[in-house]
This record gives sequence, structure tokens and C-alpha cells, in this order.
Amino acid sequence: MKSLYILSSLIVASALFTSCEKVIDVDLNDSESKVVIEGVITDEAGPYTIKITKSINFDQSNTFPGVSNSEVIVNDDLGNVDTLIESSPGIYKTTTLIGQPGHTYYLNIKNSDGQKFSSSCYMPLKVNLDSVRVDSINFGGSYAITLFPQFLDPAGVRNYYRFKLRKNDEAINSIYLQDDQFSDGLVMLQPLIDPGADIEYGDIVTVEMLCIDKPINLYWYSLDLNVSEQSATPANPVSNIKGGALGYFSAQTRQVRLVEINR
Amino acid sequence: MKIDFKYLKAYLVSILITLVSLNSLHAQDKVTLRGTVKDKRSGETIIGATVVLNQSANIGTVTNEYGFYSLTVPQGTYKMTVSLVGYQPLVLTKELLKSEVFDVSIGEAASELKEVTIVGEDKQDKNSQALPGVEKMDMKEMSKVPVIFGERDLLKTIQLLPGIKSAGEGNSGFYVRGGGADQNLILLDEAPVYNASHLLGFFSTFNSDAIKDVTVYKGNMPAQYGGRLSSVLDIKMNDGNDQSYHVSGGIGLISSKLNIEGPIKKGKGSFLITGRRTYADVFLKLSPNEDIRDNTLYFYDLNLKSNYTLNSKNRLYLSGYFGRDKLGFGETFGIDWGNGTGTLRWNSIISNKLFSNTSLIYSSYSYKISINGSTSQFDITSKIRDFNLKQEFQYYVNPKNTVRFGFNVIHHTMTPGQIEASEGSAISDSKLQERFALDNAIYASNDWQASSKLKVNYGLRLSSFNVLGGSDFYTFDEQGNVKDTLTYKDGSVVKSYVYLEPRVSLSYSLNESSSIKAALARNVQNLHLISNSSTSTPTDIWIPSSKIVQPEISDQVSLGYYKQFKDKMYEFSAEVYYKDMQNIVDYKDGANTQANDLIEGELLFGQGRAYGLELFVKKKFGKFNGWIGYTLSKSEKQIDNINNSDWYNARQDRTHDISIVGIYDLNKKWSFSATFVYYTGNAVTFPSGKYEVDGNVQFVYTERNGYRMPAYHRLDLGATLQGRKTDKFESSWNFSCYNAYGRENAYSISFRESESDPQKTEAVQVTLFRWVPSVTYNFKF
Repeated sequence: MKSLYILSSLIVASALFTSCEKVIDVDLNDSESKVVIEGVITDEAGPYTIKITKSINFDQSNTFPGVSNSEVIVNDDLGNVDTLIESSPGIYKTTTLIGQPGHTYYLNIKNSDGQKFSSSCYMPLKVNLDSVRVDSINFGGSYAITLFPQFLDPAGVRNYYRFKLRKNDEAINSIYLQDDQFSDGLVMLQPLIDPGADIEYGDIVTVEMLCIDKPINLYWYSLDLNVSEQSATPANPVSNIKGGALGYFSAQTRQVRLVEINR
Repeated sequence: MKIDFKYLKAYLVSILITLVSLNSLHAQDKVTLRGTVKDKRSGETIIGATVVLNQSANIGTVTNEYGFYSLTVPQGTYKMTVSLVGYQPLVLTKELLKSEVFDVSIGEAASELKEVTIVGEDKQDKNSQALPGVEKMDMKEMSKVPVIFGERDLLKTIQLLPGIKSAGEGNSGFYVRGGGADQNLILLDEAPVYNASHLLGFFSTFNSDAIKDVTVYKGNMPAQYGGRLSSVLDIKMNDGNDQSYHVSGGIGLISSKLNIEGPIKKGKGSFLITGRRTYADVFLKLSPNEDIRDNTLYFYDLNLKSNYTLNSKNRLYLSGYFGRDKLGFGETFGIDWGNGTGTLRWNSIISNKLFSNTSLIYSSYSYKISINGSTSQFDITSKIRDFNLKQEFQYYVNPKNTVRFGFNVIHHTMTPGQIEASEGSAISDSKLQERFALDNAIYASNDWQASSKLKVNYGLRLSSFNVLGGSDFYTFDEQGNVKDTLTYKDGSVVKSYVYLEPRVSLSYSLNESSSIKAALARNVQNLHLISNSSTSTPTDIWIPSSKIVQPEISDQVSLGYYKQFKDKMYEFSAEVYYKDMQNIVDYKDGANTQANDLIEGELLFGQGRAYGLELFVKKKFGKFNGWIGYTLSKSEKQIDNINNSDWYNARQDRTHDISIVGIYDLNKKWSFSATFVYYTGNAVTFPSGKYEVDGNVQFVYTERNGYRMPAYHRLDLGATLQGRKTDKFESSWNFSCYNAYGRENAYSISFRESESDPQKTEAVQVTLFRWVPSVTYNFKF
């Protein structure tokens, strides 16, 4: 629904003017390097990965240093405790943990500087992805092949969904979020609009459906506000990690469908 | 509700007592001359004409917004002068033995005469006596200033005045003295206009052909205005020619307009219909591609007005505005938005000294998004609608005192969003909580000519805002989660806010040509615009004050110095102001401002301050005329939990802002004009680092609005070729070039992965307009 508003203003804006773009030099301040944590627990078989890196200055090359020698522990509300093992710099893997929908997971990190970070995340119950419809939408003369995931939203609870698309193994970078604010208990059939209209006949598209909890939805929503350039006041996304780190800790269910785009 | 009427009654009684006592002091041997000043050719009433009765001392007044004047003087013989810049002054001898009604018609001066200093103004000089922080726009002057697409636009032109700043490239939004774009009250024939822009702000909703008078109050508005912090833009429509029928129009590159006016009954009543439509979409129809042909993109607006004089004491006016933007992509997607206003007014002259105006006003803004997809068919609508009753009395106590008093009751209905889905859609019907409010005010003010040197306007406005029930209200915990839902029944009062708003402005003449001015004002704003976007979008919504959202309050002081020199050929002014703001609204990080029932949980509140210096020099007459405006200013906010709770620059903070306007009348055929603007870039938030999540590079932000956009500057050129002018027909060609030297001004700056080296990140600037030439043909018969 929110994406619809953004989409509508984008369409209005793009219809009105043809603009010209150029790369410019902007003198940006350096900032103190911040810890970035990216942790994902799913309902699929482990091991699960917690990645710890550091932010860098804007003008540096995109090599993000891993943070080694941290103490990383994930436990759940069933009493299981898993101390993670660093497999490569900044990459920590679980050893025994089994992610299960309907349970809460806790992350505790202490890095070699003594900084502590913590988070918790509830893994929502899985909503079954019934099918993915493919349709060609007419956007004023140009057609965009668009995917519509179809599933039955459980009534009476707020559900949040995130979708990720890959086209022939190349990620489409849009952040797709759906929720049931206006469609509680209904069959959901909302478009995943591909702004670049890159999907073509003959492509194989991988659709990944994630059921996420509310704070993680807010994280991706606030991240997307910056990405889609609509916000007058970009800001760091609202993280569910305490202790001053960037990033997120998400416990989520995951389903994958391969969709062949046929005429 | 009860509380308001109690206040209202006590207040009105005390005003009446004051008036009666003022009146009785001056009862004997005085006579009152009253009447209406009109334009000789069109019969349009004239606002702001100076009427002077000269015996030993000058006694004078200025016509009100309906052209009405009233002067109470001792019996005697007077030299009467009626004048206004651009008009041939009328001078006559008037013997006044008893009160009488005297309507005056004055004619436009031939162009050569405009340069002559106007007689009769010597001591009643409007410029030296004008109150501070008030800007008037001359519609004739405005027609010569070049603008984008050749579309004359009053909102763009007022942005060339000091203290009024453009909200961005091609944007009809504006900032007054460091306030936000939503802090301007825009009135069209008294009806508030909630979204004054077409096509995202590239055009304003006002068709200049239908406009008679434009006045901007930069924060220190008189007591009859209220409801916004920063300014009032008071726009009055033409009444229509009551002498003869006329058709005029203009044909431009992207839009055309037509204006028809004439008498309903000669000298008694008239009508005016003005329409405008853009036709970018007509070109789409020529496309060989059928799907492109099905697209729509246009706006139109329609101004209607009629008036009728019932008798010498009563006159009725009916005016309306309707404008709509439409954008559609075939059958799949459509959005349309626009304002509608209607005003029914009744002018009544109750006695020679008491003028009354009663207005019934309707105004609305709405948008509708229609989706007709293969899986979902639904409409989203959003609307704000006002019913408004305004009663004002103007009491011409004596030539030294003109009292205004009255009340205003507005009922607001805000429907932030409603979804109507057709059967079988993957979405259900739903509606965000509606909001209802009753917005009341009573006020009184006095224009007091304390001495020949000192003029004071002082007044008081008592505003009472009542949030009404009829929907659910939420309370939130510190994280912004809903703590409680409270349902209030229809008509119950959820919360009331009562404020006293004092307003004082004064002007003191130091000598014939210079004066000092000062003003003090408090303003309260109870409607808040929710928009976290950098451009004005059709999907902005308004929310009222509530238990959570407090009224925004501003207190402004200003001080000015005015001087005229070289026989009033030049005018100079300098003004400084300081404005303190409370309860201003900002958004939490990641706030969802669209279709969110829990929007109040996403808001943060804090304080603001703005201060600055405005300089203005104008050459008023001559072949070459124009002005230079300069503003040096600062605007900051402090809101807990934003920017570590430190003060930060408001987006509209602009250190320097310069506008230069030059108009050169070469001969009767050709006139040329140029405008140049320069301003410091807006305060913006840029990244100060980067990191990676989910395989994508993201940015680190460290402080709110800690960076600047590049400075903006632009030169526009215009030329007008006047065709042969006869009594029956006149025409002109208008040529203009926007951004004549093709400056690539930054509309936005964004950051992305470098295309040449994916290891690098680069900044990309988007520029909208370079060299926009246009030509317009205007005609009148």
C-alpha cells in the first residue's frame, strides 16, 4: 500500500519532466567507523550466519572490513543456546540451532573492544505462498512484466511480508514489502513492480517470500525511504539492534519459487 | 462548544460598549461621506484607493476590500481627492452639509501619466504609512515579469520579494521568514486553498487573469486573519466588468486560457468566467502508439464570479474556483487531485459608518487514485472539506479610527484515506479514521491614526480549536506503539485549545520621506501538513491538533526603516525580524506518512527559531523600473530525538537570497524584462559513510540537514510586443526564456554505485530545466 503511494508520485514526477543527470563531486565529511551487524535466522536448516562488518568512508572502495574475534551467542525461548564460530573474518555461523516459526531468538555480541550489542526477533508463523501469477502491466505505452505472489493472509493478526526477486540469478534490488493493513484475512495478490522493467520473456525469476515481524518490516521500510529518494530527511534505518550498531537481526520464514516467464 | 459562545458574547458586548462610547464622543455637527470607488472602464471596485478630504488638515482613508470608504468630518467645504497609483486622480470640490452617499469612478492614467507623482498623497502617503511586513503585488507589473512556460504566476512572482522564498525549482510552494510551506494561509476570495499547486508545483492554482489584488502579510497579520504561523496570502478575484462584455484570452505553448466578463445588468451586476487548460496530452493523441494515446496528463481550472447590487446598501457576491489535475496511464492507473472553493458574500451598509460583510465559504481539497489492475480494482480517496461562516463589521468611527470586529466559525472534516475496492479484489474496503474539528475565532482590531506621524493597527484574536469526536483516537507509548484506543461519539469535544493572539503593528513618520515601523504578533496553527517528501505531492494530507498534536505557536517581532527619495521615484526598506516557534512538527526516522492511521505516533514535536534581515530597493516609475530584494536569514529547529536533540538547520534555512527584477519599456510597442535570482542551497542530509547489508551498499547519516545543496542562480528574460491597440481589440505577444544562461541547478542530489567502477560510490545531480523558451499570444476584445 505504501509502495503504491511512492509509485504514484514517482509516476507523476517522471511523466512531467525529462531531466538531465550528471555525476558531481560532493565534499562529504568522514565519519567514525560504525559496527554493522546482519543476522538472519530462518526456518530452513542451519547453519545460520551473523555477519559483523564496519562502515567505511564514502570515498573508499566498497570493501567492508569484517570484525573478527567477537563473542556471538544466539539463544531461543526454548532454552537452546548456541555460541557461534567465526568461519572467515566477520562471518559467524551457528552450530546447533534450529530455527522454528513461532519462537523468539536472542542475539548477544561482545566484540574485542568490549562493545556489547543485543537484539531479539520473533519468527512469525509461516504463510504458505500458493502461487506466483505473471502479468504484463501497461504503464502508458510500455509494458512491464510483473509478478503477483498469491497467498491467503491469516485473519486477525497483523502480518508483514518481504519479497526478494532474482532474475536469472541477478538480484533485483527493490525492497518489496507487503502487509495486511487493508487486506486482513483476504487472498493477497499485490504486484511486485520492477521499476527497471528488466524482466523479459524467457527469463527465470526466483521469488523469495519472507514472513517477518513488525520491527524488521520497519527496518526495511525506513531503509527503502532513503533508497527511493522520496524522503526529505534521509536517516539511518530504524534498527532492532541495541548498542549503537547499524544493521538488523531477523528471524524469518523463507519460501522460494522459480518462475519461468512465458508468453 | 459552550465555552466559546460564553466568550463570544462577553467579547462582543464589550466591543459594542467601546464602540458606542467612541461614537458618542464625536456625535455633534459631523457628517459622513461614504461610497464606493470603481474603475471607470470596467466598473470593478477598487481596493486601496486613497480618499482625502482637504480643508486645513488632510483627512483621509483608504477603500476597503470591496471598494467602500466612509469619512466622518465636520460640516464644510472640502477639496476631495481620490487617487491610486496608475489612475488619473480625481479632484473636486465637495460641499458637505449633511451625510451623503458619493460613489466615485476613476480612470486609468494614460501610460505617460503614470510617471507623474500622484497629488493628494503628500501626507497620506501609503508607502510611508504602510504597516510593516506587508507586500502588495501589482497585477500589471506582474504581467511583465518573465516566468517559466510563459505562464504568468502570482505565486512565482511573490517569491521575488524579500522574505518570501521559493521552495525549489519551478515550485509554487514558498517559505516566508523561515517558516514551512504549510504555514502559509492562502485565501482565494476568503476561502482557504489547501494545495496551491498544479502538476507538482510547476504551476500555481491561480489563473492570473482572474485576479484583482494580492496581498502578503509576512507574519504580522491583522487580527481578522489567523490559523497559520508564517504568512497570509490574500488573493481577491476580479468582479467582472459591469459596463460592457469583453472576451480575452491567451494561447501559449502548453496552455490556453479564456476570460469572459460582462454586465448582468449594466452598473448593477456583473459576471466573470475564466478557464484555463493545459494540453500536453493533446500531443499524446498524435502518437502512433495506441497505448500512449490512451494516456492523460493535464490540468484545468475554472474561476467564476458574479455580483449583484440589490440596492444602495446591499450587494451580493458569489465566487467559485474549481481546479483539477488529471494523470492517467491507459486504463491501469489514474490519479486526479484538486481544490474547489465557493464563497457567497453579502455586503451590507448598516449605517453610514458601519459596513458589514457576511461570508459563507466552502473549500475542499481532494485526491483520488484509481487502480485498475488485472488482480485488483480499487480507488483511494482523501479529502479535507471546510464549511466556514465569517461575519465582519467595519466601523468607521472617525477619520482617525476604523474598527474591525467579527467572528469566524469553520467546521473541518478530514478524510485522510478511504479505499473502495470492487468485488473480487485482493484488497478490502477500509477507511482511515476521519477527523472533525470546529475552528472558532473572534477578533477586533483598530486602525488608529494616532497623530499625523503615527499610525497603529492593534488587535486581538481569540481562537478556540475544538477537536470533535466521531472517530477513534489513539494513545501511544514511548516506542510509538498503540497503548489505547478511545472512541468518542459524534459531536463530543475531544480536546479544546483556546489562545489569545495579540497583533500590533505601527508606523511612525520621521519626516516626509522616511518612517520607522515595528510589529509584534502571535499566531496559532491547528492544522498540520503531513508530508515527508521534498516536493509538494498531491498525496499530502492535513491533520488537526489533537490530544497528542499541540497547536503550533509563533511569536514574531519585527522592526523596519522605510525611505523614499528622488521625488518618490525610489523606495528603500530594511526590516529585521525574530520569530520563535513552539510545538513544531517533525517526523521520527522511518516515519510512514502515507495511509497510516497511527500517524500521530510517528510525529515528534519541538521548537524553532528564525531571524533575518530583509533589504529592498525599488524604482517605481520611469521607462526603466524594477527592484532588488535581499534576505539574510537563519531558520533552525530543535526537536528531542532528532539530531541528538541539538539545534539543526530547517530545510528552508537559506543564508542569502537575492532577487533582481528589471523592466524596460522601450516604446509603446516593446517592453523587456529580466529577473535574476540567487540563493544559498537548502539544508539537506547527505551521507557521511557507507556499509553493506543484504548485498547492497547503504549510507551512514550522522546529522540532520548538515549539508547544503549547491547555490541556485538563474536569469530569466522576457519581451512583450504590444499589437495595435484600439477600443475594440488589443493583443500582445509575450516571449520569454527561463534560465537564459542554462545554469544546471541541482534539483536533487542522490548517491549510487558508480557505473564505471562498481567499487566506488558517486553523487548524481539531477537538473530539471535548462533554457525553457516560450511564447504566448494574448488578446482582448
